[in-house]
Amino acid sequence: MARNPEHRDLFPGALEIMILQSLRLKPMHGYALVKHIKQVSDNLLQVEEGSLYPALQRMLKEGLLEAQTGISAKGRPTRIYRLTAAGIRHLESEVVRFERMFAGFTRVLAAAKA
Amino acid sequence: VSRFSRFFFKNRRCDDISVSIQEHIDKRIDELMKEGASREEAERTARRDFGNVTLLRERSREVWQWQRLESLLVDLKHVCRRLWRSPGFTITVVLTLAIGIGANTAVFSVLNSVLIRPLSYPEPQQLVAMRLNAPARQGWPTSGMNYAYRPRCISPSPRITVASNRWVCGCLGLQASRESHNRSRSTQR
Repeated sequence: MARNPEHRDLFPGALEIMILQSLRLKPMHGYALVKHIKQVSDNLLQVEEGSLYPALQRMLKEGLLEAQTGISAKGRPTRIYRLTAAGIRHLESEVVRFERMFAGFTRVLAAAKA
Repeated sequence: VSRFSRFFFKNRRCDDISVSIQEHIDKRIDELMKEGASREEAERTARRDFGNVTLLRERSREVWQWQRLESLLVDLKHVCRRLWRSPGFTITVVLTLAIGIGANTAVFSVLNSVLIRPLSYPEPQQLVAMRLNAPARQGWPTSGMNYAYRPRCISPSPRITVASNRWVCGCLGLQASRESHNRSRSTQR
């Protein structure tokens, strides 16, 4: 996720949930995903290619995504990733889980400050 | 899913990964060129930013593989290639293994037939070995073991009764061989 090798991922599942959420907006190819996450997070988050493509393949294997073959405007072959119904269900359950985790996290931080 | 279609799907996945990676690099090159970089410079920067393409392709493919089995197969292939390239070593190893396995098999076969498996005679548990118990005849050859079936040793027959004074029965479970010789000795006494 971040460029610092000591912080490759924010927490387990963070990259997956950001990919799923981004693809829920619209189907995208890999590079567009990287750009989208970077742009939406105001450059706070940057997806590393080394993490993105294995994660996409994992999610394809789990049936959360599907890849569509196509041809770009310049006539080059493309792979567009699209969310499946299973992907949407997984995203929704993960969002609930993450919100609970963040709520707990925030409370712990607030208690530490007080 | 048949083996063929699995193989086909696997190849298609590998193509997908390669296409995605190439697409990523191409888009980055286009973007850098739009920003004013030359084609060469853009390609160099895009590839440098992307990192190790081969490694990333491998890591992406691994998701679809039966990792342990496939790495085992790769190791086996590597071993076969190395062995093929050094025939002297291969022949030495194969001969060593063959001789080792052969010797083990031979020793086990002997032990199995002598110690483990019952003898191929009827009622082998009744076989006994006889040996001489005569202090006055110490000089006599003792290598001539005499064997008989136990019922004969304890037989009420006078000839064998005489023999049992001179010959002590011991269970060895070996072949009865010099029975007739025993009989002739016992009758001489």
